[in-house]
Amino acid sequence: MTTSERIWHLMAKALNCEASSFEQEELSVLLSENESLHQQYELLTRIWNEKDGYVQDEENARLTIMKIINKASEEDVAVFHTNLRRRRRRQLFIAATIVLVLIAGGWFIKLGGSSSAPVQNERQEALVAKKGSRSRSLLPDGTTVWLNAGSKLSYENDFTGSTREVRLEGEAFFDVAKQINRPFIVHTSGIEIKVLGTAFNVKSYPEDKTVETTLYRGSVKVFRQEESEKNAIDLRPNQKLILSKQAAIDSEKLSEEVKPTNKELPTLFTIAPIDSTKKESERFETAWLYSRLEFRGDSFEELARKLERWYNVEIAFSDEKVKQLNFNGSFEKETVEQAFVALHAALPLFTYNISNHEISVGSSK
Amino acid sequence: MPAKDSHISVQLDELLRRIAREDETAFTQLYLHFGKKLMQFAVSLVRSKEIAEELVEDVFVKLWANRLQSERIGNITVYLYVAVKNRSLNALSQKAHELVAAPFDYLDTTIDQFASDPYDLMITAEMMARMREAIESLPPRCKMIFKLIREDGLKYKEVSEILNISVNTIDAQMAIAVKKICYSLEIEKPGKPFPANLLQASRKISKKS
Repeated sequence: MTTSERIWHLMAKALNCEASSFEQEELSVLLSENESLHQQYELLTRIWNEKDGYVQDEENARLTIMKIINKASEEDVAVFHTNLRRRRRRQLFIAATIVLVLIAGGWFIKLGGSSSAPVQNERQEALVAKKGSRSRSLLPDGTTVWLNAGSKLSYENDFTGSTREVRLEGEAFFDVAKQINRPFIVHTSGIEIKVLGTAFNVKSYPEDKTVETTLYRGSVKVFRQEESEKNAIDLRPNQKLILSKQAAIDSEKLSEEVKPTNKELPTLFTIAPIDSTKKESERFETAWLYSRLEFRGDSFEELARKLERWYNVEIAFSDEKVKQLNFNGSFEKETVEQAFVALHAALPLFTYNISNHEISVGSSK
Repeated sequence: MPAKDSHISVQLDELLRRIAREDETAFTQLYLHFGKKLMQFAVSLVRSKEIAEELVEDVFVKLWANRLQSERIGNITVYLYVAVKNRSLNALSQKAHELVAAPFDYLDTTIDQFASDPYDLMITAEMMARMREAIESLPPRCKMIFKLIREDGLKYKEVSEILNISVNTIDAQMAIAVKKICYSLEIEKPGKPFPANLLQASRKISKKS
């Protein structure tokens, strides 16, 4: 390479910060011998790193990101359920000895061993899914947990004790890594859910009146904090337990549907079978994993709470009767505006107004 | 001379760490940093904006779906560009694939303009235009390399990995580009004087520095 060619290589490298100190020196020498080149080079250095400073349209970028994250979550769940099916095929018998035990009137003794005082002074980790979004995380023991909108899960940083304990506010789906002798315990709304290795959904939002636990695989024991584990309810796969929160406080009867039980005590909880004939992605309780909001026979008031979490909006009612309207349906890709159009089309007995993230609902009279 | 983008590398590593911890903000920042560049890169290969958009999106979807393993990625820049390149090549028909993959000669690279206000830097609008033209008329491969290095800020080594060519080739191509730009300013050619007033001005500046 001739000297004159060499200078272009050196200039190019220097401009792109790829030149070694040796090469930089060489360049200085060559430039000092050629004034006009030197000037050119000076010019180039000044403009070389001036970039457009383009800030990619941020709003668009955020929308795209949300789309990307949702798409990715769908993939996660699909993979999970494929694995689930594989595991089922391999297993000949599911160790389904869990029977849902009704917890009446509240005699529950805390699981022996773990203290009832919250372990706040240990290093706590918290997973949060904000309103309007869902998340998936891996716990230190290999358990996968999906969080629905407006939910929070906290646990001790190292998860190395004799039990694996988490605290849940909201809704989560757990695929618990099987660890014999190390029970996994979910604390939520004054109840405990104890498992060894299993897949189940817990719905326990602070503002809801009930706690729902749905079991898909494995075994789960549910009991109230102050009660004995001996009185725990064992769930069978494809069963859903609906616990009334008030029951432990005052022994009011559940006003919702009551299934006949074999106990005389007032029923404070219900066990219901879930429809396991449907494809996993079409089941009601875990529809949220597939980014679907489903509701059946929900009062507008109840539905509004779900919509608030799902879409991250605030809904206020100006009419009491409208709160009692009932809806069935599901939303998947709809925006909140489209959702309300659909609801109104189904039951045009209300009016609504959407302004930014606030929605007011009133009577149509 | 400051090491090129070592600051950026550190920042990108940090973003990857946060993404592995499911930090959506970090993921958004990563997208903001690379999105447009990757789009342009994809467009230069597949020549369709729609396909390019979907492609780049898919790369990010896959990244987020596997976010827990993000820290295993070494160089995120190379990872993203290679992912986009591979998907782009797959998206093309076999014939087009042959055309594109081998010599990268049939490309349509978009070059952002040098943004500086010409008057700030004592460069006339005419010189800017000439410079732009010089870059636009670079041979396709040279132009793509130039864009990746100068605009996207990639390192020689990164581009070498992404395009599967040697660093020497990149070196040579960049030298060609710089030479061409300097020629376009009509300074280097003997006999053509540098515009006199500009000469004075830049002399003043070089003395200061």
